[in-house]
Amino acid sequence: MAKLYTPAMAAIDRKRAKHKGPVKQSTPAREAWKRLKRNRLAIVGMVILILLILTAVFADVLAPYEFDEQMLKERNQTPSRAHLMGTDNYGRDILSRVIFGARISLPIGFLSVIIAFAVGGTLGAIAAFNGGKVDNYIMRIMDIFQSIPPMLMAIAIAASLGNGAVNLVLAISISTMPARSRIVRAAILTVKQNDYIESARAMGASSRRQLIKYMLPNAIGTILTSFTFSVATAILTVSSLSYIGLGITAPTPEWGSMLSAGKEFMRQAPHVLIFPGLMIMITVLALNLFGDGLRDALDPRLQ
Amino acid sequence: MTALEIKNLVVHYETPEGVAEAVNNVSLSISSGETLGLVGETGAGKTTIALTIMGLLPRPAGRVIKGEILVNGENVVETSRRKRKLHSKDKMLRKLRGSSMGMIFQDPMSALNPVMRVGDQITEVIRLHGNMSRSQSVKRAKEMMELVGISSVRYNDYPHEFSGGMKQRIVIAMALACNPGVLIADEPTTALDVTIQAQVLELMNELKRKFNTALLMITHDLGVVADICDKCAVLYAGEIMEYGTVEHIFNNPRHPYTLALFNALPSLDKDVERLKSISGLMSDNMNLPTYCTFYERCDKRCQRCSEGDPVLTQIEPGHFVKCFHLAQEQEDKANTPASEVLLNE
Repeated sequence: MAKLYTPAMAAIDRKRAKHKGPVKQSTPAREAWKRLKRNRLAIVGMVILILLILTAVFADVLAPYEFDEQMLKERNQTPSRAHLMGTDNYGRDILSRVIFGARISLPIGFLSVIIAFAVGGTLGAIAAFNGGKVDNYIMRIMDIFQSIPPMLMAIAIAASLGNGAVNLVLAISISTMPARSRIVRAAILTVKQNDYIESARAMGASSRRQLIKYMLPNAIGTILTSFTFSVATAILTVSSLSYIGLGITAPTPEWGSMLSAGKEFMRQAPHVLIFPGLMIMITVLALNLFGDGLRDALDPRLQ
Repeated sequence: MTALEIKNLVVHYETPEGVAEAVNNVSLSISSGETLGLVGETGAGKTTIALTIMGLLPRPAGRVIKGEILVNGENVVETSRRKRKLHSKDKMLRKLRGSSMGMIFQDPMSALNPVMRVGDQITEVIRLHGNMSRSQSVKRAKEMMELVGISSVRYNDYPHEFSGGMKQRIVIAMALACNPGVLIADEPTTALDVTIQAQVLELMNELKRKFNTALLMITHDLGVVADICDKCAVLYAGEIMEYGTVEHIFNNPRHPYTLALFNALPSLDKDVERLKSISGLMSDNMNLPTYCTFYERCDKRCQRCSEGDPVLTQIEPGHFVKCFHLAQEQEDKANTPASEVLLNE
């Protein structure tokens, strides 16, 4: 056999193996992290997001008061040392309510998107993989769903199911599912054309294996990015639904319903409305910044 | 032993614009340890033949109209349009792919999954077919890597960390990991530069001998054919124009098309301003003539050529040509239809 692998090369490899030892391997995930680290804004978004999640987790430790503790003598107070964000019309500490609100908004936002992607994404992947009739049937059903504006659909579902966190999650996930299935379908369709998929077929991989081991990992960048953006939209939808009274009911603090409650006193006590609004804005901004950075980081062509 | 046998294969692509006759009545056979070069210009049907063997024809456009492909004696094509039949064939094919037949793709840059370690990709093939435990498969994959000249230290590296030639070697290792009887190489060196081409060809030749694999080498590079093939088939518009051993084709090319191909090759010792080309274009395979497909471009054409389609005729033992002129010359000798002679071989 031709001496392609010469002793000299072997020596170099051995040396390399010895010196490198447990040197960190360059995996696609690590490369992406390297690129993400270079993007300051994305890191800022990520840090804010982590802080928000920590806030939600340690809400009872962080909040100075109970979220439903009414101090009727201190109603509609402007921010002060005792109440950093002031109080609302029942004398409840807004800071505490905002902190506890993270426990509602974030899980509902994430959960509804996870469900929408799990169901819609699976359908989209199946449609893209099989093509032809299967694709047509699935996507036409999705089209029917999509012909109703998602917000209207969410309102209709939330109204018919009644209030409550679980119903809210259902309403949002069902109404956004068709859009998510389209995203996954498009991502899989793009990946499907690659030679390595044909190569996987040529080595005898089953359809399921091709889809799970070859197509999904390569499409995950697009899907993950749209995931973060979707969470931002879902949090806004939670807030909107709560604002019109279809989401979380009082006294449970939810940023959207706090906004809604605060609008009556907008003139006398604008802070009641400003702080929860600010929280929504910061969360959505952080998610968008992070999502943007993630998209760039996961695309190896944008070095 | 005949490892791969193609009998009267006809493949059509049914598109909205019409039916493209990609492969017309092609018969070939390759024995174990033998290399057959399939040459022809773009659109001649080389890749379609390869895809048909692997059962990877794009569906629903590509369809085998008739013919048989025997891999180790088993027919792998399904001419029926029935879904259920296609499905059962698919299951059978999935077992054969990778284990009885392997394929090397044209572009190594895109033939490897970018998010999977190369070692794992080789292991995957072995796991799919080899009935081996995880650790045994890994061991075998490492052996394969060493065999194609890549240190097994690099088992955990990703495709982007390799050069093009190394990637092609990984692809070869994958294709050969389960020791398939038939290896199809679809222009394996087109995407590589010349020095690497030579290395990869030598490697393939070496491994073919080691594993006693039948190799179908698809290329449009006559140099590659001369280098490693035993037999050669010249394909034009989905038909075999000339078929024989490499000695027949290179020392005694007879078909006007083969002659024209050799004429078009640049020569090392002559200084020419322009390279010779074959005038005209290949006939549109949506609209093939009923007469000789090479008629329009042939410099030997005559009345008879525009009236009928010649058949592949044996002009000397093992050397077949599809041309009236040569058939005429050999009239008293063998003018048995090629397919019969081929099968009796």
